[in-house]
Amino acid sequence: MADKNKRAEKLYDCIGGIRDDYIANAENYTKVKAFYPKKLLVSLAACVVVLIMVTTFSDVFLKSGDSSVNDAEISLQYVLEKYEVEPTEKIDLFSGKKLIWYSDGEYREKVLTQKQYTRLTSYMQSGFEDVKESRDEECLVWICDGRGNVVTPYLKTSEGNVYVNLFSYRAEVMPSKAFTEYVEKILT
Amino acid sequence: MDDSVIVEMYWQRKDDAIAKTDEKYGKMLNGISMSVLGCREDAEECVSDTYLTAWRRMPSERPMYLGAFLSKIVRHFSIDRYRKNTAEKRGGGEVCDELTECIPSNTDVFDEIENNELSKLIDSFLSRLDEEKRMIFVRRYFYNDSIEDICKRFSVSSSKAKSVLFRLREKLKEQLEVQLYGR
Repeated sequence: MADKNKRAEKLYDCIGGIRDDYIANAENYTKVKAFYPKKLLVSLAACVVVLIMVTTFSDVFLKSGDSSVNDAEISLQYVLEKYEVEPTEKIDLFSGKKLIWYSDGEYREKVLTQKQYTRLTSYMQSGFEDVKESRDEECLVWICDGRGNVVTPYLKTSEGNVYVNLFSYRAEVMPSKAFTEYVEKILT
Repeated sequence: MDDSVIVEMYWQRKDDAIAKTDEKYGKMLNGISMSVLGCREDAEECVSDTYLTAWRRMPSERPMYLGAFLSKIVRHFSIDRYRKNTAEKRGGGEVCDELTECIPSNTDVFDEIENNELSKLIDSFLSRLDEEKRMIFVRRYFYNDSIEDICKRFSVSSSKAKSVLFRLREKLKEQLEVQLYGR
């Protein structure tokens, strides 16, 4: 036993003779713990997940959930309903230029100036888009020239006018943003 | 102050070389000595002896690592003092006890081997370790750090520190056996 201790002592002494650089390296060494706060990482991961979910939700349900409805159309319907124009009991196509629309199962109208008529007709003929997808006919618009001629977005793709009567057109034809904004300006 | 400047002061025989050494390394040297001796007065004496030895050995020596150079001296003095002080005449206490596990079975060869050769074998063993394990070994068996100190310094649990040290001792024994049998 005594020999064993003597040998351990010898080993202990010899450890005193190891390389200086090993001693120097260990002299002031303190391990710096890597800072990975678990809670912070978990919170960040949760934020990313929520962000992805919100983005996906808005893409799926607000934009592409009903692909037949675009921003401009939603906006036109919203604009036409926002100003709460009284429904018209009898449509008269010979009493001046007017914008007529059908929504909530009723017709409404707004008398137009020549300038408004020209601009709206221009927007309607150049800015509407045939999305070629069916949708509910909730919001249809016509522009009447006061002489019995009616212009609808549908006429852009189908030549000819409908005389003395409103013609129900394909609701797939969508209004442009410029048309909607101008309608809002007229109604304001 | 940079080590090379302090060493230069020894070489220039400047009086304040020891004061500058004490300023930079005094606390560490006292710590090493205290961990061996456990007695403040004895530790202070050993540190003073260390400075005097450093003064005598420089200018002939120009240590690259002044801290390591002084640590070796103070450790040697402290162990020596401890052996003189204690009845068992054994230095190192608990740390030295642990090293009994490292003694190879071919004790005759072990007994015959010169200390400086044995130090080289230990160097060879340390060179094969990764840096952290090497430092754990050096902190425990050179600097006489307690397990608690190692846990704090290396940010490990007590059981982890003990288990690492146990494996290191086993590995040292294996390597010493291989190297001593080859002689």
